[in-house]
Amino acid sequence: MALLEVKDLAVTFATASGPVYAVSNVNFSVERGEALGIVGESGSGKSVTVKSLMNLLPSTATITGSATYDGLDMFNLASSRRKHFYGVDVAMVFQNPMTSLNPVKRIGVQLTEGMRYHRNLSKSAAKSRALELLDMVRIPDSAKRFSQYPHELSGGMRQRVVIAMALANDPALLIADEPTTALDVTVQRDILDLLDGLRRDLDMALVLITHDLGVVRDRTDDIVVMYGGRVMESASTAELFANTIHPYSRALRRSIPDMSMPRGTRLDPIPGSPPDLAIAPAACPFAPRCVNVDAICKFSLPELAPDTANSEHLFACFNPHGELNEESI
Amino acid sequence: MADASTIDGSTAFEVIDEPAPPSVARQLGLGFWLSSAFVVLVVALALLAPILPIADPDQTAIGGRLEGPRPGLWFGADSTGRDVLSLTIWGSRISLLVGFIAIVIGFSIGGTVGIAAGYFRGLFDKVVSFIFVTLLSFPALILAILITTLLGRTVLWVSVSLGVLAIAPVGRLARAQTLVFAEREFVTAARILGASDRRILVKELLPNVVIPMSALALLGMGIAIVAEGTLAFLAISVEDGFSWGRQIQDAGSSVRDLEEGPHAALFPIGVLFLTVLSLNYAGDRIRDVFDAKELQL
Repeated sequence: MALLEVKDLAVTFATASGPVYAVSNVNFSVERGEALGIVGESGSGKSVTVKSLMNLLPSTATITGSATYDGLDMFNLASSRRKHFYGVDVAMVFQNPMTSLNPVKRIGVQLTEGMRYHRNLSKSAAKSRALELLDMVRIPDSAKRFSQYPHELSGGMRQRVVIAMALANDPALLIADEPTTALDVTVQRDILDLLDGLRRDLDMALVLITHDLGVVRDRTDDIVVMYGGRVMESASTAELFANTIHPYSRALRRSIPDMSMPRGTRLDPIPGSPPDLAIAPAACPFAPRCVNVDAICKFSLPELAPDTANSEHLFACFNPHGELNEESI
Repeated sequence: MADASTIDGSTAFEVIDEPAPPSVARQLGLGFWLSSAFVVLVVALALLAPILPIADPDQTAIGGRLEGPRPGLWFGADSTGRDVLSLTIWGSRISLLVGFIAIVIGFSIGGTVGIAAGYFRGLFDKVVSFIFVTLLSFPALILAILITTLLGRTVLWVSVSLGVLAIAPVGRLARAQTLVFAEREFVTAARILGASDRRILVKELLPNVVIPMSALALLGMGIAIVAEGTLAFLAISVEDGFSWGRQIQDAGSSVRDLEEGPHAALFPIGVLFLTVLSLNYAGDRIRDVFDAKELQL
């Protein structure tokens, strides 16, 4: 049984101007100790998906479908179980380390609060665990950092602290929501490698949310590509890169700069902008921007279905190779 | 600033150790400490008035009528020969007390309601914001006159009338500051860790809101002291007590007295001015230093 299993997840927000269909038909699973990348641009529903799992959505959101953690229904946790669930079994790393630490509290206090609450550790036990965590996320001079304030640390350091906080109670599942987007490019790689290393060392499952396919390429076992609140394609990382089926995934790949490209090569942007989620999905959300678009794409919604060659490789597209277009000409 | 070090023989990453910023005490500057020292001195004199070796403020004919300052009678005497220094020290007691109680009232009510409104939002926030706007548009002087004439011209009710006026500005700042921090991810992180609303409000948000608020508290106290002076000048402040405002009114209401011995009014005016200036300056410095801190984040 997978550690995290998300089935037919849909999230709708009630707004003054009617419902917004932020996420629909999302399916994926993460095995114990494995890494899943969720890739998509802004508004693709990746953050909403994660927030629904972390029980962070506002009361205007309606969630349907199911999410199970180790067989446990995450949307209907018994209150006794919930008390020590988030921050213990499932932890989260946020996008912006500038705002995910409280500026007026010392690093040490912020690190130890969670473990003292959930595990009833004594002050000294919590401190030694905190120092161990700081070493684990490779913060040099941990004893000094322990008593510093967030503003005395660089962005990369702060993100390490945030990661240490997330690891405090040995989560089996860590969700990282664009953990490097707010960081310097040179620091991004270090943080990603750190997360990858920690996942292996601690045998922890990782869900890595990003808008950058390059980020998940070498660091995840599986990838889910989202667009317009729906899953466009999902496959193992190796399979996805070897055989990218969905036109959106391919467009994403083409938009990544490659060091081996000849000088002066222009990147391929994806023209247009993400769909308006206030309209109930009745057609492929990517149709307006798709190079392979055909008449059917505009009237019908493609279901997520396995590829004939590989049943583990799912995609939602009527016309992945542009054949329909050619036929119709 | 970045010097690469190798850990585990593989990853090179940044080790940033920025030069330690100057201490907060240093950043606040000499002006802040001088201002604070002056305020502390004034407060200490007010508290110690009964045991200080100064003349009884009610005793007349200690000096000549409007006698100028001289050794032993440093601030001179007023039109009835009372010691102006002694009057100023005793007068500070009510002025400071009224300013202090007013700010405590404004902060405990305005601060609490403002933070709650900024955190919980929704209908509660709308109602509170409307009340704040209403309070702000109510003519301040009318409100003060209304409260003191209806409920009595005692220290308590004069303080309450000024405190009520402080609720809206304090509450609006508290609400705005809370809005800034409530959306931050550390609040979400605390919620994930299982923190209750109460804990988030008290442990996560309050410390962040308190610093800009403390600056406002000092400014507000200065404003309240001046406002009490205004009420006293209009003869609607504390009835059976002597504040700076009352003293200034006593000494300054007769043009002839003013021409003959301006010191009787100028000394309390000067002390009032310096006290309010010090409070304002100290508050400003606190805000500047901690705002700059905030920007570094």
